[in-house]
Amino acid sequence: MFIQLLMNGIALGSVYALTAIGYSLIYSILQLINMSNAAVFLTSSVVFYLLYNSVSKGMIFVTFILTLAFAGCLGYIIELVAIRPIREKGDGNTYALISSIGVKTILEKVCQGAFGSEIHPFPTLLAGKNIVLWDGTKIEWIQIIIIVASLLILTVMTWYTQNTRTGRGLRSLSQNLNACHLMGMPVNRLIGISFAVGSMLAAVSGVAYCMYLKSISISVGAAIGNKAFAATVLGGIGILKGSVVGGFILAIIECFVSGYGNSTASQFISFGILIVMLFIKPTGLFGKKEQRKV
Amino acid sequence: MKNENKFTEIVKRLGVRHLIFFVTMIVLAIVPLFVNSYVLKIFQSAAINMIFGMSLNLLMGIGGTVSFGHAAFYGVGAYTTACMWYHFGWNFTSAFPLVILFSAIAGLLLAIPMSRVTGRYVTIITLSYAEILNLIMRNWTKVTNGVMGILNIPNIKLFGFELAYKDEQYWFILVLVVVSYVMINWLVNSKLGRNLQAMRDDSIAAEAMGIPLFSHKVIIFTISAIFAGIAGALYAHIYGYIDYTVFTSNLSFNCISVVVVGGLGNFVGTIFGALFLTILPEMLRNVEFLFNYRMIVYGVILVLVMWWNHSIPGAKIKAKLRSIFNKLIHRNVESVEEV
Repeated sequence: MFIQLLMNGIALGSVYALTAIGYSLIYSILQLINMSNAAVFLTSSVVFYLLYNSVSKGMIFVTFILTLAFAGCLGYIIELVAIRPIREKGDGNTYALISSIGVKTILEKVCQGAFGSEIHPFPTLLAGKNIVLWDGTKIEWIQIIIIVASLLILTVMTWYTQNTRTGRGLRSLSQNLNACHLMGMPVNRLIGISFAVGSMLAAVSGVAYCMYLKSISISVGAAIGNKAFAATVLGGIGILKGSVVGGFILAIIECFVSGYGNSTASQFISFGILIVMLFIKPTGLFGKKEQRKV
Repeated sequence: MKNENKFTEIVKRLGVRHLIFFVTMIVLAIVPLFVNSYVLKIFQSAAINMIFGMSLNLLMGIGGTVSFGHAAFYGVGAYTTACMWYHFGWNFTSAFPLVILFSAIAGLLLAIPMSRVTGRYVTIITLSYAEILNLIMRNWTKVTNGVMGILNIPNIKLFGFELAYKDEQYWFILVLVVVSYVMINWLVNSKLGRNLQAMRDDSIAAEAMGIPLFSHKVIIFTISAIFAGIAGALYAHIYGYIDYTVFTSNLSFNCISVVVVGGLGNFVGTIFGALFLTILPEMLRNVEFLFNYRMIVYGVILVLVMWWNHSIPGAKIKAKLRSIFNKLIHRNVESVEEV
């Protein structure tokens, strides 16, 4: 029971963590909460489903790569159309935030229109195959695949932000946007890339989550989007490490509460933790204290 | 000539905005004489959205705080009146004070953590508060009937007089719209409202001038929540059925679109925003290929308005239009001079 719940928690946590990185990455650069991330999560899993059933029949990896490409383009386009013009005028982040809510509404409603509100079966890897441990607990292969894949992605992300030219660019953007402008860096392109990366991570976690559930419905995005957002805040918004840790903590606690307690309480627990955290340490687990200048 | 003077005097005393508001209300009041009951239903929900939108605009435009969870208060109002009927058989009139009380409490509970924070935490706290209230609505089965929702909520009864017909209900909602408009405008122009506007423009300067930020924020949140609760109570009685899916964050975002279309702090604008955004999706219902996609209107409007008001291309287009307009006027003036 314990190991089973722990594995569930880690698998769910990696889904949360990947989406949470998308929120955090963009927040660290623009101080903008990108609400469209949850909708990208939904849109890319819908696109995966549609592609799998029409264009690339039965080939999961081809579909996956196509979906990733789609999500990257979608993220870049969102930034180009809805965020960039507003960001450049500099009236304030609230307006960009409202604009991203607009994008979220559009994407969600388009998905709803294209997809209907039924629950559809979702293709998964190694369906129905389990590992049976020494004490008889069954662990699904797909959980292990998700955990390994997300650890891989996290490693690649770390390497990407530390060692590549673009990654270093993103890190310097999050330190000081104006200085980057003055140094002649292609700031707009880099911000576009950060949106694309965030969207691709959301796409990975969307597809992984639907594979884990083996089904897809229109309400997938809202539930995970909010939880991932809570995870981001828990770990400290704008700090990539924090959002990963926050995602795992929330998911594991949630799984244990629903396993040993009841499932109703598990729905409350993530927001309860969030509210408590905001009272105790509003900057999150890894957050640094900010000073406001008058 | 004398009449004209009187007219201008009235306009001056009322202000153009208020005049537009009252003319619009009169036009809206005669709508039921010309339309069928389906269209009237749309107008009813538009009128409810007006109260809801004004309550959020009070918070966004005057208080300077964007609430991303306003649907929570709407839901509290709706569930209060519905539960009072469901468990105790109370009608609208007797439940009304409780609607005000409970939505005020809901507002107060949010206001206390809210007034200590700024910036991003506002978004986070309002969103998660609305989410928690939604979960309560969904899971507190004993009171809210859980996932089933509450069915067959009766019509509004005012002191024993039942509003059985759609046009009566509609006029009653319009009366409430006017009452809330007048009250909100009175509030905005009172000392409290002016203090709030000072806080919105610069909270540190306002605090330095001796305005107590905490109590003011709590008060504005509570008042805004009360109006949203009233709108929710009306919704429950007009539609006769509520469940938790109505009061999700989508509703909050739609309400933000209503306010943003009308303009922040502009309550007449909110009236038109609510009318526009309620009627447009219904009109798109008739366009066949847009039927499934009609609700994207809210999102498109949000992005477009933000584009128009707060982006560089939008500002350029505006400047160009203005220069064209000025040139036209200028040309006319010249031609007049030549003659």
